[in-house]
Amino acid sequence: MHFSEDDLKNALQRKDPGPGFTQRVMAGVSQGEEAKAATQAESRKRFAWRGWTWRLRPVLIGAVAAIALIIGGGLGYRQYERVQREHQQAALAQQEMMRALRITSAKLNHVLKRVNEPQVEEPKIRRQSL
Amino acid sequence: MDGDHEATIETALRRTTQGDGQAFADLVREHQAMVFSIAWHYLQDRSLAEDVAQEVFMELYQKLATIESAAHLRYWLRRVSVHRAIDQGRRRKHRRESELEEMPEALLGNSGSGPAQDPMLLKRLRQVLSGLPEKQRMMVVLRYQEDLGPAEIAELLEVPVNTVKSTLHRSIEELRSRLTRRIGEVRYAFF
Repeated sequence: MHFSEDDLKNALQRKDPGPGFTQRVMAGVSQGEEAKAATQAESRKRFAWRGWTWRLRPVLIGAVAAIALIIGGGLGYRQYERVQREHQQAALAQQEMMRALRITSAKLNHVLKRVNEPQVEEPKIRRQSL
Repeated sequence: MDGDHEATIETALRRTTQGDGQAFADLVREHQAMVFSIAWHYLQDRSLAEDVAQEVFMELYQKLATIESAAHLRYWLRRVSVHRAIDQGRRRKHRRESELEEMPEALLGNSGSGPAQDPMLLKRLRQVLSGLPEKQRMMVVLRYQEDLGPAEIAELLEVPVNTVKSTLHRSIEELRSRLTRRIGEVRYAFF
């Protein structure tokens, strides 16, 4: 049996892939297009969201700053009140201490005065026996 | 006739780029045998060959705007089919000849000219072809399936023309050697 170039050509003849191949290709193409459209819609949505947040960014920043100021201000005022109370208490304590010192000083003065005065004999009190 | 045929394809190309899905389906039908056969004769696996062919046409759909003419389309399809088939072949292990899938005999056809072909011979030729190294195998497919010359094959495979000529010669010798090497089979005279 001979073997020729034609035999090789016949062995390698083009062959059709069979029924349904074209439909399968078109179905794949449709799926690819749908996936691409979905991806593009998702990108547009994400971009719109980013765009929306970009426009609101100054407002958001301002709102956050205002809230921070309010909270900070409130905390600061409470701190101020506490310090004021402590000062008042300290002032009261000081007043009390001064008063106590004055009293003590007065008593001490009295004692010293008595100590430094010349001694005068006081008449003895006769005890009568009953 | 050829000119009319080319004009028909170019009309379909133009309509496809304008969004005509039916025109793209016509292009697929026109070229599916070529694309599928390059992959099938190279891979000897119908399922893989179909996958490769589908991928080629889906890539074509994405790149339609770059196709300039009917001739460019044929060149583009052959080039992408060749490279995808080679890539697919590398992704799987080399199979022994006896494990290869065979095309059902019903799909074999006589060329219609000359004496009737020996189906066993044709089957055996395809089997020993699958045992050739990848570049040799693809060169034989492009030469005898697509009837391309060495210069065209060199351009598709990005190798020098002289390499194609010497490789084709060596491939035929190898096919002859493999066909006559089998123990217990009828020996074939070689050409």
